[in-house]
Parts: sequence; structure tokens; C-alpha cells
Amino acid sequence: MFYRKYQPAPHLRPFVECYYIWENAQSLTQPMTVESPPSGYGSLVFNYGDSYGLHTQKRGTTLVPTSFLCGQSTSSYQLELLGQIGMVGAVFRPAGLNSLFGLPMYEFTDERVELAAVLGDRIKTVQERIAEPNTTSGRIQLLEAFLTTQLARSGAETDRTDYIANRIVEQRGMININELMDELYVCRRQFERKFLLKVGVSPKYYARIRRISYLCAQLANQRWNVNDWHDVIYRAGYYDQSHFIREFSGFMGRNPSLYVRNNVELANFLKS
Amino acid sequence: MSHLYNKPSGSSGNFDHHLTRNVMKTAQTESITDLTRKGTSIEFFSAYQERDIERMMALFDPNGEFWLMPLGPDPQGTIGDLGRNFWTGVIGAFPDIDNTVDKVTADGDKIVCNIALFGTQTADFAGITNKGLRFNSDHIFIFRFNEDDKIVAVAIDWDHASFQHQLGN
Repeated sequence: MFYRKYQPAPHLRPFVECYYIWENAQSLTQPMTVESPPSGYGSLVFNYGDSYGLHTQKRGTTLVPTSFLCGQSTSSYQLELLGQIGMVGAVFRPAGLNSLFGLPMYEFTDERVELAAVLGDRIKTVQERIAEPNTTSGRIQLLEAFLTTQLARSGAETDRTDYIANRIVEQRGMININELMDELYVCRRQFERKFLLKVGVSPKYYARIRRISYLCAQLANQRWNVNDWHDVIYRAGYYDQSHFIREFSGFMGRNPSLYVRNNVELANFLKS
Repeated sequence: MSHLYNKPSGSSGNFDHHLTRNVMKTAQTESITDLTRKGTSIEFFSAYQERDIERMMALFDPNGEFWLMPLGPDPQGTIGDLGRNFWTGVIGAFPDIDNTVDKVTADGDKIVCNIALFGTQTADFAGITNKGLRFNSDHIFIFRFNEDDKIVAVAIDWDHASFQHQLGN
């Protein structure tokens, strides 16, 4: 299994968090399930491997479009893979997709929408070229060239909402939104509307997503070995154990102790 | 009576790795429909923020079902009748009523909106005596749409005991 992240070029960094490539050397003969917690990032993904399914609590299992745009995920999801894995993606900073493409991101929350339906036929050439035999860096270059063209075309710039959303990320969701609004002299209603448009959820809800995302990343880094739950809960900024369990179960679909025992996150399949 | 929750949630059951292109197309159409419906739902909450009853009502089929979930197991009336009266009453009793949309998600033919509603009471409302107190309460609004993307049913759920408690009742 090959999974690797790549840094974007400097001119795209205000919008793009990273690129990734995910492939397998040997075709899967048995179905494999890989799950992911909500990350707080939207993405553009191109699949050049076999088609695969997406399982969510709400929708059951559906086929994932060959190339798609996805907004914020508000719960964990599972990919159901078989055969050849081959995908390249651009992961965007929280308001990056809106800034670059001008899309109302609340429409894309918990959605994977086929790219051609969102961006029109111009994406088809990129899709076709990514699907052709190519090297890892060749595919990343194609993706980056497309985003660079989009940046030139849109004249995108970051604004205060990007700044605030990025700050929520940097502070791992442990931030008082009311104090932040006061500090920045923003009107609550306008700020919330803009945030919903640019990020896809409210600022407070986004902080909750980022907090659970950070916590899950920490758990994965320690290979889900938890010696002291109190320390985990304290470091992630939850009031108490019951608050933590309620939040975790709400986002992840099962309680924390069950999750650390039997999750199938991608990190399980990668060499540490 | 056809309830909001009667329809299955759009799950396609077991994953078939060889789904046809037609199925893909159908799923794509559903996805675009969901985007439109989410936009309509956001428009409702924008109109609610402006306390503009006519703009709110324009999004609904007036004969659609209106259901305040904490108050009973079935819809209590129509949107055009009870719904209009209810929202008019809310806006009258809480003239600064406002909302924050936390998230909007699709579930089959429904759009589920997680909302924080807040406001200050200035008049008695639905058996709750006015004590001039402020509430802030998480609400779930569920809108069911027909094929023309008109809202044909609305259900609203909230913690009514907490709501009453915050208002001093």
C-alpha cells in the first residue's frame, strides 16, 4: 500500500493544504474497508483505479463518482475498496475550495459530487490525462497545473473568513468563537453567514470537527494505544469524560474504547 | 398519514462493484437535487433571521404537514395554517429571534438542518409565561421535498424541557 502526501507550490498554499496519492501494488482480491474520521478539509479527488464504494451511517453504501468534489464531512465514513486502488487528491484549507472556485460550501457538506457536474466540461481533459499511465509526480503536476489555472482565472484571494477558519485549525478547535468575533470586530450574523458559505458549517460546529479530527490524528499517531484517557480528554480540551464520549460517539458512530479497539483507519494498513 | 420518516433514507443496500453507468447518472442527479434543496433550506433560515413570514411561507406547499415533534407523535396541522400561526407567534413573542445554521445535510428526500435558535421573550407564548428571559436552544428542522423541490412537510425537534427551563417556566 502506497500513500503519500505532497506540499503544494507556494502560490497555492493559501488554498491547498496538500496533495496525496494512494495506490496499491497488488490488486485487492478481497474487499477492504478503510475508514476515516471527519478531517475538517474538503477535497478534489480523481480516481484512476477501480471504482469503489462509500459507506456512511445515513446513506448506507453508494458508488463514489470517478472524480468528485467533497465538502466537510460531519461524521466518519468508510471506503469499500476492491481491485486496484489509484487516486490522487487535492486537500483544501477550510475555506480554500470556496475561495478558488466560488462554490457555496454548505451545499457540499457530507456530499461527494461528480466534478463535471460542478465545474463543467473543462475538468474532463484533466480527468482523462490523470487516468492515462503516468508517474506519481506527473499526476500531481497535472492537478497542480489545473489549480494554478483556476487561481489565475478566478483571481482568488484569501479573506478574513479564511484567516479565522485557519486559526481554528491551528488551535485544534480549542478556541472560543465568541471571543474571536469580539477580537476581530466582526458582526456575528454576517460572520456566520460567510463562514457557512465558505467552509460549509458554522464556526462553532467547525471547531468541534477540528477538535475530534485532531484527537483522532493523535490516537492514530500513537497507534491507538491509550494509557490514560483523562490525559487524552484534557489535551483535546473537553470539559469532562461524558462530554468527550458524547462528542466522540456523535462524530464517530461508536464509543471511544470500541473505536480504539476495532477501527480500520488507513494508518492500520501503512507501515509506521 | 404519510410522515416525514416513512420513506427510506436513500441507502442503496449492499455495494455492487459493477453498478451501471445509468445508476451513476441517477446518483449524480440526486446529488445535484440535494444541492438545490440545501440552498432552499438556507433561504428559509435567512428569511427567518429577517423575520419575513411571507418569504418563509413562499418556500412551502401550504397544504404540507407541520409537525412540532416534542408536542406529539403526529403532525399537528398544515404549514399554511398552523405553521404560519406558529412562526408568527414566535416572532411576536421573541422579536429578536435569530438563528445560526450549524450544518445542513441531505437524507433521501429530506434535508436535515441543525440549527441554534435564540431570542429574548417579550410576551407569553404557547403557555410559557413571559419573564423577559433569553433562550438559546439547538433545534433540528427536517424538510421533506417533492419532485419539484418544494417543501411538502416540515418537522421541528428540540429539547422542550430545557427551552421552558431557560425561560423560567
